[in-house]
Amino acid sequence: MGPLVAQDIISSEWNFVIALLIGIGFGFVLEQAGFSSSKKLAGVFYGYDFVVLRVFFTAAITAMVGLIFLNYLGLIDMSLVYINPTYLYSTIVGGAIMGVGFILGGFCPGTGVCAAAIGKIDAWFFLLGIFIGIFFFAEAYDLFHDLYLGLSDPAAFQEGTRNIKVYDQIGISGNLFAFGMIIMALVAFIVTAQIEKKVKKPNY
Amino acid sequence: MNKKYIIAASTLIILGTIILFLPEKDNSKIDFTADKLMMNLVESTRMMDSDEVANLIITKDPSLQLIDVRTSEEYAKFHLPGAINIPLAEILDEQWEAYVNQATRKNVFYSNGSIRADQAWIICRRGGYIKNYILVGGLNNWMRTVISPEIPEDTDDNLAWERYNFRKATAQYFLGGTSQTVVPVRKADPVVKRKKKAVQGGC
Repeated sequence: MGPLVAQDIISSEWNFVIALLIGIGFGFVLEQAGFSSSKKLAGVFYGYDFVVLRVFFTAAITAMVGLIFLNYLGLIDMSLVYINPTYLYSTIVGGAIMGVGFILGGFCPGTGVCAAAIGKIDAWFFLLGIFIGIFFFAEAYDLFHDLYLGLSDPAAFQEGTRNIKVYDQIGISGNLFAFGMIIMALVAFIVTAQIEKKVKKPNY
Repeated sequence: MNKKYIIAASTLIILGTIILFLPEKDNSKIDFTADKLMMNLVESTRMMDSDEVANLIITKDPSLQLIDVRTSEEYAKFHLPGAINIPLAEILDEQWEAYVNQATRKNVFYSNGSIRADQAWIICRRGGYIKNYILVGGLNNWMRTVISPEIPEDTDDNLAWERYNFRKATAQYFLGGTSQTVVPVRKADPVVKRKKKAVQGGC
């Protein structure tokens, strides 16, 4: 049956409408959960608030468990589900830039827009920074061209498809990997809760 | 520790344990996309023409499996040698699955024309079955080409005559009797005599 868009059960025009509705819902929930506060977000780095990690890790494993059960019930064709292509060096460089931007600005791009929407001035500057970054990247595209397209990635990543799955690479079954992810998430939740207890919480 | 956390964590652990014992499944064959089917439909390799099939029958090719998708009454009246009868309505019956869902033989579907054979082919393709083919034009075309081939025109090329002789030979195989290789007798073009004409005009 699914995925609904890839099989034209939902047309691509409606896809945009639904994406808009989901986007509004996502932003609303982010704001309600306090993700528009840069202090809360920066807490992950300083160790006093790990709610960001908990929320996104929970979202990931919930989606993962849901997909596995949908697949088992024959309701989704996993071969049609979009998998983000793997780029090695550009991911490392991009991840580092994003991390620095995150801790400098106090937002990740999604929460930045969220906070800008409720009128936080620091978030407005953060968004301005994003657009300056985009402009700079576009102007200097020739410099980043090879890195961006992953042309210097190891051969294993360039052959054929970049839809690499971790569990295929380490040679275990997807289900065992999923179980491992759940355990990993629970351990992360317990450990971060311990850290939160030890670190003094600032007032915010 | 918060009670809610314990409930959430244990739910996840239970689900994770169930996942550990779930079999791996690939649904890509269940949902055969319209695009994929379309790509397969326009491929001409799914067709087999009557000469090719006749050749396979005569040479007793073991990989050939003719499948008559007409009704059993029609099959009883006439069918190609070695054909089995799987009526279109029963094509997905379990008893026939070993025939249509396999990868070693070439299944050639045929009906009177090629509509029913085509339908059978599409049904099988959507089921993810491979190695199925269609007899182009069905039995009607079979009769026209293999059994009573038309004599080519004198002006046709040698290929047409070779094909005609091949078909005469196959007709002999299927019907008995003798046949002789026919060599086209090409008549010479009538000579067009030029009439002498008086020079017209003049100064």
